[in-house]
This record gives sequence, C-alpha cells and structure tokens, in this order.
Amino acid sequence: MKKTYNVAVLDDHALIPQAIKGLLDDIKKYSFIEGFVKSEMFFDYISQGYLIDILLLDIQLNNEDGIKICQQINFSSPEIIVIMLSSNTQSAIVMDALKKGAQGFLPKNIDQRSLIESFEETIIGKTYIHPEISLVEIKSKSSNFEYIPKLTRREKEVLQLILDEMTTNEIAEKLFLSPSTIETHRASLISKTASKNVVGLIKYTIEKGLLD
Amino acid sequence: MRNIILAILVFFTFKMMSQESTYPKIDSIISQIQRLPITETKNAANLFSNAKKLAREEYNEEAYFNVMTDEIEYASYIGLNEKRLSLSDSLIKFSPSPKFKAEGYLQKGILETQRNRIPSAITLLKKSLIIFEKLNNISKQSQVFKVLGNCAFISEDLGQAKDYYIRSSKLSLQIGDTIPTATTYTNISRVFEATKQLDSAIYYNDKARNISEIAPNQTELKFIVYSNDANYKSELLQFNEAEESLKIAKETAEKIGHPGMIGNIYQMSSIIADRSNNPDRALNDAEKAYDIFNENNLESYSQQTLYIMQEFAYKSKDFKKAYNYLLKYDKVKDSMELLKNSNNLNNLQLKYKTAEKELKISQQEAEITKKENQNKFIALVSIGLALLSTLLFLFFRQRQKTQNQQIVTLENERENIALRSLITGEEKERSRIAKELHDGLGGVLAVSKIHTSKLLLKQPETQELIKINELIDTAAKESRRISHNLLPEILIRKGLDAALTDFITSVKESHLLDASYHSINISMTLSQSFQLSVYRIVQELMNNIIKHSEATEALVQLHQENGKLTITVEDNGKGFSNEQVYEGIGFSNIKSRLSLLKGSFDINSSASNGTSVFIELQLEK
Repeated sequence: MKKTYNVAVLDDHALIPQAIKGLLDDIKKYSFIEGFVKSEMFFDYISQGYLIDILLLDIQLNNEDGIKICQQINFSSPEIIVIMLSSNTQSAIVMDALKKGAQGFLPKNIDQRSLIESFEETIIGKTYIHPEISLVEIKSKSSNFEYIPKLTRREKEVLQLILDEMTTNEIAEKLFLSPSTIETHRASLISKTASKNVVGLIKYTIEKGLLD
Repeated sequence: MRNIILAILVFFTFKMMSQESTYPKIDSIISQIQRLPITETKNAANLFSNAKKLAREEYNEEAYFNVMTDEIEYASYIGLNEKRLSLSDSLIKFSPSPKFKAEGYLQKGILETQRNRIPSAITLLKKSLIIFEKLNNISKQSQVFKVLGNCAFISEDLGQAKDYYIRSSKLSLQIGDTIPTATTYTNISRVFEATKQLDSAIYYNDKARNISEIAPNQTELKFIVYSNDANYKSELLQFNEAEESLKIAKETAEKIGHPGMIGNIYQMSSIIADRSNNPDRALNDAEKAYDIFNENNLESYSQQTLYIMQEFAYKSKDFKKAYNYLLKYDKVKDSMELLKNSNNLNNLQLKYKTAEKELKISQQEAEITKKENQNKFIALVSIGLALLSTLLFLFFRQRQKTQNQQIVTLENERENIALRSLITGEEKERSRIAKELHDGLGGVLAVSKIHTSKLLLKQPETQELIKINELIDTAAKESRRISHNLLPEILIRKGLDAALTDFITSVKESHLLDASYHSINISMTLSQSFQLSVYRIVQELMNNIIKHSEATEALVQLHQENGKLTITVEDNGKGFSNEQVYEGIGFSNIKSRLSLLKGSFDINSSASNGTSVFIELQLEK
C-alpha cells in the first residue's frame, strides 16, 4: 500500500489550517492531521510521538518568527519536511528560509494543484518554490567580472576629472564641492570598480570603457 | 558677528574702471582722480564736474553718463551714500541707453545691499540683470550675481549665496577676468567659513591669494585675502600666523589709505584678540576701529562695531562702557533694518528697552530726590544709586541672556522631540495598520482563495467563478502591497540593504521605471530607526520620481564610509524648478527627517539631465 503523508499546518490565523484541510479532503496520499496556532502546541504534539511528515509553516506568527521555528525543527526533527506558507515572498526572505532548512516556499493564496505539486517535489528531496515567486539573483561581488557598474552623474564627473589628472582639491574647486565630498565619490568609484587604488580605477575605466 | 565683518570686506573692493580711450581728455581727468589721496574729496568733486562739462561740450551723452558711472563708483569707494543715491537715480531716470539704466539699477542695488535693505536691493539687481543679459554683457552679469550673492549672504541664505557666487565666478572666468574671479573666490571662501568648512574656506582664499600675487597692483584684493587669512588662522587658534597676515593686510590698507580698510584692520585685530583671550586689547582695538569709521562717516560700519564693542567691554568687565555702547547701538539700530530681523538682536533690543525704562525711572527718582533735597550730596548719592542700578541691571541682563539661551536650546530640543515622536508615532501607526491588513484581511483573502480554487477544480470553466478567483487574487495582492509599503517586513528582518534591493526590484518589476540599486559597505549594525529613516527617504524620492519626473530610468546608490552614509538618487526625467521642490510634500518629509539625522541635502535639477539628489548623513559614533 502506498504511504500516506501526514500534513500539519502552523499558522496563527485559524482559518488557514481549515482551508488547507479542505484542499486535502479528497486526496488520499496526503492527509491533514492537525492545525496549530502556536509553535508550542506543535512541539508538544510531536513530543507525544505523533508523526508529521510535512509541515506548512507561516512566517509572521503572533510574536513568533516562523523562520526561527523552521530552524529549530530542522535541528530537532530533521525528518519533517518544512514548507513555508507566507505572503512575504521577497527574495531575501525566501532565501533566508531556504538557508534555515525550509524545503519549499508557497504564497498564501495557494490552489490545490500547486499545493500537491509542492508536496510531490519535496518528498523526493527537491526544493520547491512556487512559480509566482520571482527570485532576484543576489549579486555576489566576487564573481561579477562581466558586470559593469552604473555610475552616478557626480561620479562620472569626478572620474573624468581624475582622468584629466586633477587632484581632489582641484576637482572640489571645479565642481564647487567640498574636498571631503570628492573623497567620498572617489572612494565609491574605487569600491564600485573593485579597484585597489586610483591607478586600478583608471585601468578599469580604460579597459571597460566606463566613460564611453 | 562674523557676517558683519564680511559685509565690510565685500564692499571695499573698488574696481578701478578701465576706460576705452574714445574720450582721451576725460580719461586723463579720471586718472587724475584715481591718483588723488583718498581724503581730497572736494578736489575729486571738482574734477568730476570738469569732466562732465567736457563731456557735454565736446563729446556726447554717452561720455557724460560714463563719467557719471565713474563718479558713482568713486562715491561708493569713499562712502558718500547720498551722492551715490542721487547719481544712481539720475542714471535710471535720465539715461537714454539701457546700458546706463542697468548700471544705475546695479549701483543703487549695491547701495541698498550695503544699507541692509535686501528686498529692495534684490528687485533692483534683478532689473539690472535682465538688461545686462539682453545686452550680453558678461562682465556686468557676473558683477550683478556677485552682489546678489552678497544679499543672500547677508540674509544668511548661504546655499543661495554660494550659488550666486559660483555663477558670478563662472561668468568672469569665461571672459578671462581673473581679478573679479579672485574676489568672488574670496566670497565663496567666506561662505565656506560661515558653514564651518574651514579647510575649503582656506583653500579658496589661497586660490585668490595666488591670483593676487601675480597681480601686484591689485592691492584691494591683497587686502581682502590677507585679512581673510588672519580671520581663518585665528579661528584655527594659529595666532602667530594670524598676526602675520594681519600685518600684511594692515600694510596694504595703509598703502591704499582707505579709512574703511584701516578701520576694518582694527576690527579684525580686535576679534583676534578676543579669540586669543585678550579682552583689553579686543576692546581697545574695537574702539579704534569705531573712531575711524565714525570720523569718516562710515555709519553702518561704526554701528556694527558698536555691537562688538559692547560685547568686548562686557568681557573686560567694564560694565559702564558696555552699557553706554549698548545705548548708542540702540539709537542707531533703526537704520539696521535687516539685522533687526535676526533673533538674538531682537532679544537684545527688548532688553535695551527695558534698560532704557529702568534708566528713566532711576533718572526720575534722581530728579525727585534732587528737587526735594536740593542737596548736592544727596544728588550724588542718587546718581550713585542710578549707576548701581545700572550695574545691577547689567548683571541681571547677563543672567537673562543665559536663561534665554537655555530657553532657545530647550525649545529646539522640544521641537526635535516633537518631530521625533511625530515620526515614531507615524511609523507605529503604519506598523499597526500593516499588521492588521496582513493578519486580518490578508488571511481571510488567502482562505477565500483556497476555497474558490477548490470549487474551481470541481466546476471548471465557470466564468463567474474564474472572475471571483481573479478578483480575490487582485485584492490579496493589493493588501499585500499596501501592507508592505506601510511596513517593509524585510527591513526589520534583513536590514536596509536587502529592503532597498527588494524595493528597487519591485519598482523595476512594476515597469514604471528602469531602476537600479548599488550599495557599498552598508553595515548591518546601523540602528533600526536610522535604517527605517533612510528607507523612507529613498522611498519618498522614488515616489517623487514616479509621480512627477516622467523619467524612464533611475539610479539609487548608498555608500557608507568614514562615519558617513551618502545617498544618491538620480533620474533622467524632466527636472523641476527650486520652488516646486520646496513645495512638494515629499521633500518636506525628507527635510524633517534630515533635520533629525544631521544630514545635508543637495539637489541638482535640469530639464536636460534630470534630477540628482545627494544626501550626506553623519553616523552616530
């Protein structure tokens, strides 16, 4: 006989477990067993020996942080598959949850098809992220060798004047800014082009045609 | 007090007029006047009337008005204000050509500036600017901008002053007028000094000094440069260097022989003495300055000196003198229209009035006593009493002064607290509404969606159901968007950098704008309220761009370094004029946030390049 997976929901909004229960009513493979509104209730429940295979977990609970709970579960009961169920679907939060042990991420207004899809994927060990959620690539500063930074107008002016062999004071005078402000622009230029010093900055500018 | 000194420095620049040699006979008279010692005003007046006669008889009207212009400059140089006024008025009224009319407006504008009648000065100067622009006379435009800069400076609108000076120096540089450029540099330097950026102040003053060194005839410039230097160095407590520069300035002033300049040297010397804690010398030199100004009818300068004198007399514990100077100052205050507006002077005047009353009362008492007793001895006692009450009053006044200062500080603090609690309250309320939206409405919508989607599985293709499903989706998205705008959850969880990345991405995804975001060195340890403020500032700026700029691209950059956080927000939109900026509600929110964050704010906007906003925030150590 095929295995039945026990699904539980932890969400401070009591209607949500009810709704999920409704979605799983006619599906044999997945059975809804319990809904919790606090993490305490959930930990009590598993400590009594009940088995939970999949937990749908909200992020914003009353005074509790769902991602922290996820981390805790991942530590104490790593066999439970945790799928986040939250309307906070910004990349940084999704990435954070995945890092803390969540295997899937669903928006709250879920339909039956994607709910089942998320179960199917995660029980075979894959990570599931709902297609509505768009992940922005987190730019890593070391690997972006083809990435040419956009300069602000002031940075362009300052860079042009650096290329014209002007000193900070001369640039300050030309642009009617204080020398300390010019230093700030200079520092941001060096940092944005990942150069070590002005020589590196000039090299970069010429090689990449930064001012073209 | 420092602004007062500037006013003196700015106006003693006498531009020796370089005359085209169409009227050689007149030229020779003018150069005779230029060689005259400054005290021979009668001789000069005679020579001027000769020149005018000659112009009438042998040349044309143009020559006549040329002489008149020269005469105004001369009158302004030696401080004959009545003469200047009447001559400028006749230029405006009688001259046939716009060139002289504009010159009349300019000269009258300079005079009004010197008399602290700023609104009238600005009206006149703008009139002259319009004409000079039509005539395409760059050098005069530059001069008008410089005087406008002085107006702004005197009204303590330093940002505006700097703008005008910069325009002036750009124009004069454009036509290669190095000397006017140099004097404008000294003015820019003064602006930096007033904003406590001494390094930049000295830098610009040194630029002017370099120019003055290759133009040894420009003694006026040399004078300004060195007295500036003396002022700056004494501010840096480098008193030896300050005295040295002062010495050079003094020699230069004596060589020129202008009493105003010599008076100014004493004034500066007095201020240096005050800074080096030598109140006796400070008072002594201020008195010398006053005498010189007074003897030479340089009224506004002697008035200004009186203010310094009462201060220094007080410091050297000569209360009687201090009080007398106060009274004198009070008498002449009426002509100081603008300074009256400044708050601390207002307070001072209030105190004067009380002082006067008190004095009157004690004088009346003295008189009554005198009548009753007809006794010299008792009269003396009563005068002594009056003096004593004056002294007591001075002590009382000083105490009141400190109290007033405390009140001002307290008021500022209270204002800040009010502003802070307003902002905190606003954020709290936003957070509450966001939570209610998310927890209440959001949950219900999510559940409705789950139910309808299940219903849809059973009855697919039901149009009404599909529609309802879509509507719930839209409603959920809306409530999420609103709640997120009210309180960016991500900011609290992941910090400013992540929150802005997310915010800019959402703007980009909305296809309203091609927005990009860069961050450099943003640390996670910034306080949450600071992060929220920065987030709100960027949010406001982006909202302004989306609503008003018609831009297609925007760039947001955050850079943290050396205890500073800088925010750059740029767009390629249609730009806006200054008035619009300050009226916009978004900017006023930003400004009140900045006032709490110790931030400075710089906007560049033009129709061709769009708008660029640069904000510098000091981080708490």
